[in-house]
Amino acid sequence: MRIYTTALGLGNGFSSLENPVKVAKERVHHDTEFRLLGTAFAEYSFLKNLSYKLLVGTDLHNERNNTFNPSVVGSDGNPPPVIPSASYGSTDSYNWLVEHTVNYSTELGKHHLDVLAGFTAQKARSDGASIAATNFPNDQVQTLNAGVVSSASTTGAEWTLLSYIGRINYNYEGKYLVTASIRRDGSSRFGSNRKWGLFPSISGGWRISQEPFMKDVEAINELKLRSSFGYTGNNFIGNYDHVGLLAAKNYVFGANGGTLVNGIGPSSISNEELGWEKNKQFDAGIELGLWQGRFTFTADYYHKITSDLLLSVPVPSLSGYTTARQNIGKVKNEGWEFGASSQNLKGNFTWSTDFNFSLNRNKVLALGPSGEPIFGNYQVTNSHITEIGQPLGSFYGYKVAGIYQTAEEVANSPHFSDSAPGQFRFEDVSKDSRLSVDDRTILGNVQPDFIYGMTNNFSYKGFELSFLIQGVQGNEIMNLGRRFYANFAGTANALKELNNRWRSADDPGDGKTPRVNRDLSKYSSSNASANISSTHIEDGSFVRLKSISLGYNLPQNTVQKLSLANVRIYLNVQNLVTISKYTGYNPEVSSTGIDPLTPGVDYGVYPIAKVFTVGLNVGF
Amino acid sequence: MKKYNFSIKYSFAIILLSVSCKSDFLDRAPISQTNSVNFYKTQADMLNAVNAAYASLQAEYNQSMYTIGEVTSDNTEILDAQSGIDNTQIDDFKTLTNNGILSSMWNYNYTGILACNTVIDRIQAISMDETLKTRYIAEVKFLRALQYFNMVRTFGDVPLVVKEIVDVQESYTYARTPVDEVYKQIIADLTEAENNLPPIYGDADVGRATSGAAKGILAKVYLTQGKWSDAASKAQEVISSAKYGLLDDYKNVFAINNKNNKESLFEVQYKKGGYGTGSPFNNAFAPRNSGSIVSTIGAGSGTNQPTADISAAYEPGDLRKDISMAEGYMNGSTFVASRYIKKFLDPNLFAGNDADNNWPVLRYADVLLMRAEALNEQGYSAGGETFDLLNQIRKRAGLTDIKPATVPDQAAFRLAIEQERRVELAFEDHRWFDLVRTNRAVEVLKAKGETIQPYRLLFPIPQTQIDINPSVITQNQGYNEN
Repeated sequence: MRIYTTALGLGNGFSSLENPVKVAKERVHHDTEFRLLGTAFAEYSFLKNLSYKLLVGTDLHNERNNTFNPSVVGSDGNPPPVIPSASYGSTDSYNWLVEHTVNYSTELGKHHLDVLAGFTAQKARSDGASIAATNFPNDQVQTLNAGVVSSASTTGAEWTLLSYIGRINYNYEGKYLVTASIRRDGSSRFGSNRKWGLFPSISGGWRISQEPFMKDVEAINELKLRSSFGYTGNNFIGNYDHVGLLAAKNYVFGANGGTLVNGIGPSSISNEELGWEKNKQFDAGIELGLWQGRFTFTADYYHKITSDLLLSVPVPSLSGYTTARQNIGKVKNEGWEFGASSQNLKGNFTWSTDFNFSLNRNKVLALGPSGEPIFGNYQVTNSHITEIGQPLGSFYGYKVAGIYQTAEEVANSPHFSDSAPGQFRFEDVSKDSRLSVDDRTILGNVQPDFIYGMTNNFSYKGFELSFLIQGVQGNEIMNLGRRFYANFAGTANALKELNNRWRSADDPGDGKTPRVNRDLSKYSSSNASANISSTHIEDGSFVRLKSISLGYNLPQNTVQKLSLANVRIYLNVQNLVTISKYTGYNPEVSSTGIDPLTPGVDYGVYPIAKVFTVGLNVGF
Repeated sequence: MKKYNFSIKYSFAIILLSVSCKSDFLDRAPISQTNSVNFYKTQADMLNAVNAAYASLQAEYNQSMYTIGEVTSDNTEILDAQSGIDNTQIDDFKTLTNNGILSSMWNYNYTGILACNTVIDRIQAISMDETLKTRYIAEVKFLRALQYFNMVRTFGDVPLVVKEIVDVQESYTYARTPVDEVYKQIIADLTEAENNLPPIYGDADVGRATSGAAKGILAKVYLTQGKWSDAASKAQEVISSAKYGLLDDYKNVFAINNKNNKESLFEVQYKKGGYGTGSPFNNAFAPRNSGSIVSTIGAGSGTNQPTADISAAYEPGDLRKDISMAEGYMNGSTFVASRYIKKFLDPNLFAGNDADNNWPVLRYADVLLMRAEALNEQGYSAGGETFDLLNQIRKRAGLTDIKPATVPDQAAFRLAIEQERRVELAFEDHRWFDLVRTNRAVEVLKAKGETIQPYRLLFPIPQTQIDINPSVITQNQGYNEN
């Protein structure tokens, strides 16, 4: 048994802190995962041009996890020995798809026609089980039979999808291309009146380079214009979000200490009108290839309106519910994407470059019936706001204008009722000469001005070198971990900027850092429950040397002498250099998951690793 | 991915299979959760729905009620902000509009009110035992009234929702209803409850709302509104019912093997054992950093620790003091001076925050004191019933009777009641509401060095609720400047 220290009696409210190495080494957590994907199809041609195809696909998935928390690992404030506990969980899921399609294709001279009609059915079901046990006598036997089961449960959930699809591809001489398609999708996730959605689309292309008049332009080997317009749907929500669900709310009645009685009460509100989120998108693009493909260039413009967004929106809790899944609002995404690739050098020494650049503008066009903003809550209430005319999920709070130096400054500038010297002075956004909740404002958003990437590949004889640079420019990150790291209340470790804090009007520090304190005013730095302020918001722009790869292939004659097929030695390095002003670990990550109302928060996420790989690849 | 060529025969079987299951293929009812479409059909369903309405009380009383009822007052305090920023704000009268305890209070109460309204709206269409139907409605109306009473005393005007909201858009139309109208509804609900609830239940249903509980809460509502004669007569109805009495030993009132005793009019029921229905007070009230010395299992949170002031408020010889609180605990051979509440300790709790203590919402002692107060407010009498009522309480506490000689007028009797209520009902969520209801909060707390702005007698409406619906929901005066 290894010996670890547990820090005890730290003061400031901490009775103990557990040793992180011990937590990592002694706590047991095993995950096993098994997945089987399979597709089978059968095809039958009725006529020369007419065929039927049946496709069956399955996805079987099994996942199990075991945990054991031994007696020797305590938690902060609860030093060991503790009562051991363990858990077991499993998920079994399947997802099958049956697709029937009929395909008709024909060539009539220079006309080529391809028609497809089909029907698909898909069903997925997932069954979960979990068991927890505690009161293990010791740490020896770690399976649940050794403990006392404290809870056990099994659950199931499923979804289904039916689709009717039709598609026509037509081209004339490979020059004029038209595709029209229509699909009708029915999803079990929506209310009974709104299960079905109809999504047509059409696209066309013109390969100008195939035209006779382009024959003489030798420099251009490919020139194509393309455009499309169409609708798509989105049903990425919970399986039962439209159903009013009830939850167990058990209680106790009876004499002599009481007996548990079953209670069942409302937990989510029904929405029979919940339906598909719709995207209406227009695209236009150009493809250009020069000098036999040594240089290619693509440019695309898109304009997408998403309506009836499937959002889980905070609702007045006087309804008895705090959130409700609704079709609400309209958002526009508009942008450009450019790509270029070039074979700079050919021959013994080759050099090629791929470059991409894109920009997107996101703007909310409409919200619920009243157009009122929707707030998002990530750890802090109203950390985000979604407002018409702004991007989805903008950061929301007070803008720091400075630090109050003196009592006179407090009195003579806009202030809250208990503002004091050394605390943040916020901007009086509402211009009413005082500070109030009305002075909260948008502090930034996660939408970058643009993103870009570049790959360069070099090779000389057996040597190969390539590197990938990625960059994002102009987005903001909510560094919410600063609630703790920049919480100068003396309860935990703090960032070194603490050294530059305000101490008095004569010793004002760096003019940006407030005083240390343990008071509970929201205007101090130290209140973990305070509103978001601009001190939580940082520029998230970065440039990263995402990967470098250096390889050497042994010359073929050497390899043959060794009776091998090939030998390659390589060195890969990932995330070697990141240039960014962001003070957190990694500007690329968000801890908020996929909720579009609360994007872009870094709440103590795990830092990204630099990975060095040295390898030898031998082929026999 | 692998591809196999199926035989034609097999594929036709699958075609048939997939076509035959096509109808209703998209109708998927939740597998592991009850849903509102299939529920609320039978008497048994409605019983479950009524039970769920009671269950909301646990969430409401688990934290926000004692934080507002006790921590705000001079009875208890938070010693270290590490026990919780939200509690500490409330303790220090620095409550912000985004305070988490208040938003929980708001949300939990409206969740509970929804559970009540759902029963009331849905039970009408169900064919079931009519006597039970009447009782179920009366039970949830009692619960609805109790919740609105707690809400209105905390926030002032609150949106009055008396039907199940089935379309979420509808919830945007509710503004804050003036306090008087909310009280009208509370009184109407409690009046129906006192008429339709049984005075007692059989063994299996002990803990449900009784007519006595409805009368008792109604007396408190009247008292809060200053309707002295109504309050006095409701309290008298409880006394005359002869269903209740003071226990001989104050300690037994809170004993975990003596729940729902003769002195209890209404308790929030808890049961330990890993069911999710255990009470958290054992751990919540144990001092922070006391390890498990006070709490037995699990750590203490220190979210409700008695002040020096209440320690001094007990008269010498008051038997209740040692039952209600302690001055500190022994850590090995060292005494640690950190006061804690003893009324709700469970020496045999199942796990941390999973204890057996019920929460007393209304006790007979409270009813006696309410009657005495309501009578005194209608006119002082030197001796007689008011003195008898008060002295019953004092006698059990091992104290001498108060006499007209030392309590010579109405004002003096008021103070005698205030003092007696404070120590008799200490840590049972009454002190703050008593101080506010008698208009004494600012004065009493100021004398103890806590200057509070009068607007802080009401708590701020949770900012989230205003932000969701800003043109309809308004903030309490004073808090917008925060």
